Amino acid sequence: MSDRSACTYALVLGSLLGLACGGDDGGGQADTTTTTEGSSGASGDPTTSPTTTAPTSAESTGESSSGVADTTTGTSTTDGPADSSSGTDTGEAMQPVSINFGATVDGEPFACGQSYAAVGNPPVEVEPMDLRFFVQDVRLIRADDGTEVPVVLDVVEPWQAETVAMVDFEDATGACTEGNAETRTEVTGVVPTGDYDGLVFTLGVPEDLNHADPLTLPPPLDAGTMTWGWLYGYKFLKVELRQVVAEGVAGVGLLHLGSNDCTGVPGVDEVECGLPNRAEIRLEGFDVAANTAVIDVAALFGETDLAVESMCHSVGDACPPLFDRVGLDLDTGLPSPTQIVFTVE
Amino acid sequence: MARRIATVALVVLVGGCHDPGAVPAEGSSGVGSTGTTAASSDSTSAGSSSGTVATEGPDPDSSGSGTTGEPGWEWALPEGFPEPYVPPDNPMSAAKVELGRHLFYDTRMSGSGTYACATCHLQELAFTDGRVTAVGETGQIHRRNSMSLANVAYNASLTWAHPFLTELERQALVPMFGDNPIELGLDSEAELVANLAVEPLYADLFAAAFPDEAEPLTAPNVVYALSAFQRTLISGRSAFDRWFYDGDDDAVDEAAKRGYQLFNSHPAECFHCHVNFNFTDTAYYEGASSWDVRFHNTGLYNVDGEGAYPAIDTGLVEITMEPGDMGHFRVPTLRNIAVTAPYMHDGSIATLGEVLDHYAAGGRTIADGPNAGIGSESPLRSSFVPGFELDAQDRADLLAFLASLTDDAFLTDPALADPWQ
Ligand code: HEC
Ligand code: HEC
Repeated sequence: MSDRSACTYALVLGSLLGLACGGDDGGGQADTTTTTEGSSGASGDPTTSPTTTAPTSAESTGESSSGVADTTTGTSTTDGPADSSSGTDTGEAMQPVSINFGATVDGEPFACGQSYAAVGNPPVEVEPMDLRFFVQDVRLIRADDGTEVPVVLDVVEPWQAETVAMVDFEDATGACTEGNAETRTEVTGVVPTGDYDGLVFTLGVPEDLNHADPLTLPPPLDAGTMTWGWLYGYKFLKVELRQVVAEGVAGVGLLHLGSNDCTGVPGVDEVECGLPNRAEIRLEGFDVAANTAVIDVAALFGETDLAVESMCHSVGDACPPLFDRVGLDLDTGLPSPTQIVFTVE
Repeated sequence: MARRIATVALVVLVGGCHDPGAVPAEGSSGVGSTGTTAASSDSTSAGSSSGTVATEGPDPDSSGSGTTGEPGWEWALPEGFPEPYVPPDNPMSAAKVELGRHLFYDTRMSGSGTYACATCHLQELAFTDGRVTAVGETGQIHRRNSMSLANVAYNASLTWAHPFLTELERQALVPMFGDNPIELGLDSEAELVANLAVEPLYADLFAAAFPDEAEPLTAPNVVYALSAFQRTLISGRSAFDRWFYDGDDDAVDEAAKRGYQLFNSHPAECFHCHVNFNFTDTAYYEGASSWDVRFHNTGLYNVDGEGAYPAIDTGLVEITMEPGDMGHFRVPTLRNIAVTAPYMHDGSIATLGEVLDHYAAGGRTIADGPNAGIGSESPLRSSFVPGFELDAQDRADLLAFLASLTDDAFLTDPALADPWQ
């Protein structure tokens, strides 16, 4: 134990000095912007370099996809994407895709300001307070051979950066107070032209961005209520419900999913997380032109008592059923095949 | 390495202070070697084994005065205080500090327009709030006691128990955007910028603080300025300092001198953890030999007989997930301690007298209720909290010493006060 502590808490001054030379405040960022470092030379101003990166790739998705591929390679959890996307460089024909997302509560459309009669166990009346999530490593499954092909994301301010996109059902009405009026229910990008019959994506923010200083990152990663100061990362998924009560204390259902058990000073050390907590959602039979990937909040809280405070901040007594249902192993922080909250509609 | 530590010790501790004859050998040997002492004998505390072995200090030539501020920036440091560490991307400047002071006291920093940093960090209370635990903008109760910001520039890790929040720039995001609990209740950078943009004064203040930027009113600059201001919250002009560092024998009475001697003695052992100019073992500054981050369990709770703290706040273990880190917290400064009641991470001790009882008992005993338990029997309690005899005279002396750490000049310094009044 003391050995571990020694490495864990010893903050190497040498790397701080390295930081001084590197000139910005996020080891994570340094990685992210490697491809453009030479040109941006913006080491004196950490706020601009990532932002200048984004438009570059927005200009011409095809051309800059090598940059995108590089970033993906660094963070991807599968071998597939890197290989396939470097394939996209070689002039393969590309087609635009728009992946639709939806949200329901026990089959009813999810809407802030609505209430839902019977959610949780035992069932109680609830109203939404928040529903937003990040996706990374978005892939389509080839109909012929089942291979996963990465979707090269469009850069769309403020919703999508090169390697991550936000989906947002929070519209600042009713009990939803932590976001803004705008919502986002699609993820757009390009894939090589072909036939696809499945969708795979990861709920998460890529590791190389997750611990960077949000004040230096462009939307959707800028600082706000999806940033998690305490765990110096992002909330990958933020779902909050509140019990509707005539009097007394309202119960709460809350899931904030983010990487936990992390070590390393952000911006100084390499941050490593023992519990990545990035769920991989795999939807077979998903036709991107016709289907919607739907998250059902009632399914998520199906075993949860919403008449009391049931809060899972990626740790806590309320977590086991929520992790299980979103497809995560609570003990390892790795994806498990148990997810039931996302379905194809 | 050893030589470098010795140099640091000389500069920091011996420089300018007169020897009150009360400091035991370990205590006076300085930053680095005190750390070594703690490390070897308090190995249950996660951080304690870290520091001194770990890291090479900076190249003496490349650090030191002059590197932490823009031209014209001068630290006005008390005797015995090293130069604060300042991250290279946020050099000090008077204009930035002045902007930061305005922001620190500005209720536009909150979602509702009713809360500022200063709502929970009041100057006259050494930037604490007098509450047991803090209350956020929406009325939500924080589980923790608002911390003093005196000498916050020197804290190698920030908040009561977080090994990886080490920079003020990064910590500020917690109160600004955090939702568990809500503190300032800001939702986004855009909201913050829009809130501030309505105040005409800011056009000039931001322009002066960030002269090279065309549109300086940005969220990162807010955080830079707040951090620069907080680095000027330096408290080292108490009666104790006038005696210990300036050599004025009449600055404190005999009781306080005896109290300081007790503080530095066995088996009171306070000095192992509350050490050096800021009375904490988790200090960092320009020229420090290493970046030491330490946490300790003082036996405040033992709810299960195995050292558990109440589930609402288990300290360091929440971050590290190492069972042995249960109940470990950072050592807070003792400067201005007489005005920062109530005490401990959860404000669960009302008076300094009761704090002394806790240490004298070798850990607090709670007779009944959900948190009942015998702290002195906790297997996780630090070996530096062994318990000791405390007669009425000792108690009065220790209290006199602690009271001598109140720095009235700091508590009333107009340069740190609300500029909007
Ligand atoms: C709702 C009350 C509240 C508000 C508002 C608030 N703080 Fe705090 N502050 C606290 C509490 C409580 C802690 C201890 C937090 C912990 O340990 O988790 C703290 C800790 C800190 C620390 C760590 C000090 C140390 O020695 O490690 C700093 C720095 C700080 N606050 C600065 C600020 C700044 C800057 C602002 C405004 C942007 C601010 N605070 C707003 C209550 C508050
Ligand atoms: C093993 C290290 C250690 C020793 C020895 C120690 N302390 Fe502490 N002290 C701490 C820690 C850690 C805290 C915060 C504990 C918490 O909040 O749970 C603390 C808190 C305090 C506080 C409250 C500070 C505040 O802002 O709330 C006072 C006062 C204090 N100690 C005085 C003393 C005195 C007097 C002694 C000697 C009798 C002493 N300490 C010995 C580590 C130590």
